[in-house]
Amino acid sequence: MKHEADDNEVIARIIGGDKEACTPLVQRYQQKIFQTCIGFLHDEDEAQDLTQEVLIKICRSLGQFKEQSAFSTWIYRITINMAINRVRKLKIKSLFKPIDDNTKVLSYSSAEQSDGRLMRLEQKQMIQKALGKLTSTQRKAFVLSYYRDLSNKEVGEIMNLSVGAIESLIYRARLRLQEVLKNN
Amino acid sequence: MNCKNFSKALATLNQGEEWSPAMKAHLAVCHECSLLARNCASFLDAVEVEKSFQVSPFTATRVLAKMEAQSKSSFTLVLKPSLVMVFTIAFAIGLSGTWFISNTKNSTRNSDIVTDYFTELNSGYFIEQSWINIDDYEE
Ligand SMILES: [Zn+2]
Repeated sequence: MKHEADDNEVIARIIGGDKEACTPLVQRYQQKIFQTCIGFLHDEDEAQDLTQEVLIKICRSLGQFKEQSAFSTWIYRITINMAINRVRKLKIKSLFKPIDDNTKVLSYSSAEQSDGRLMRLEQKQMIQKALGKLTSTQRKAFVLSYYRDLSNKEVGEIMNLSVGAIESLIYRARLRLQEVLKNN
Repeated sequence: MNCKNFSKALATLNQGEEWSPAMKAHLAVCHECSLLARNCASFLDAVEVEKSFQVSPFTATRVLAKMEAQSKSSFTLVLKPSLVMVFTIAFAIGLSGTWFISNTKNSTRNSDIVTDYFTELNSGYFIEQSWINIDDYEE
């Protein structure tokens, strides 16, 4: 409750033209946004970059926040939309730059030969492959639930779905993941 | 418990939750499901690793700097075309103004000359005089 009150005060200040008021807002939500971004992108640099873009978008469009939902809900919705758009852009980009991707993998294996790096690369590829098989709604529910540890009720509010629907989405997502991981 | 039921039970199992005795019994005899359980566990571990990544401590500074830069560039983006437009309009006004003034003056001067030449007393006299009596000679 106190959080919401603080948010409202900060929002009023930013809308009033006080750009510095963005700082507490950024500090309060940056890690949450970042974790959501990484759940979609699986790349630290991309997630850092997108987090900044999301925060800028939020600070700039605060006037559009109608208080029909919780402020955090509004933030998660913006984050998810922007993350999905970024995933699409990266997919298109990768179609035109297949050689670069190979170079990236090669540079990982040759220049940074530490086991940790290689393991991380394998993990990243496994997660990407598995989550890539989920439907868009399953993926949203999974990311919010597993990367952000939100309750089914909170996920439901963000996705405009009932708690039962979220439970079902996550259950189906996990069955789908099992199918992918079975053949891994 | 068969493989299908094991899979369903695995999908509803929360992180850190204990395997049920039936699941344990199935795992002991089914190689495929024990492999699946291991893969699922390593997948969730990988998710935990990604989840533990921390946002850059410079995010707030960068966000404010980017916002500042964007507002400046958007100001320039609006300002530049409007300046070009203002200068173009001013130039066009200046050009047409000059044309208008010079045209008006010329017509007045021409008509004056014609009127002077043909209608005045000693018409054209002074003009002809000024043409004929040129004092400048080339040496
Ligand atoms: Zn089995």
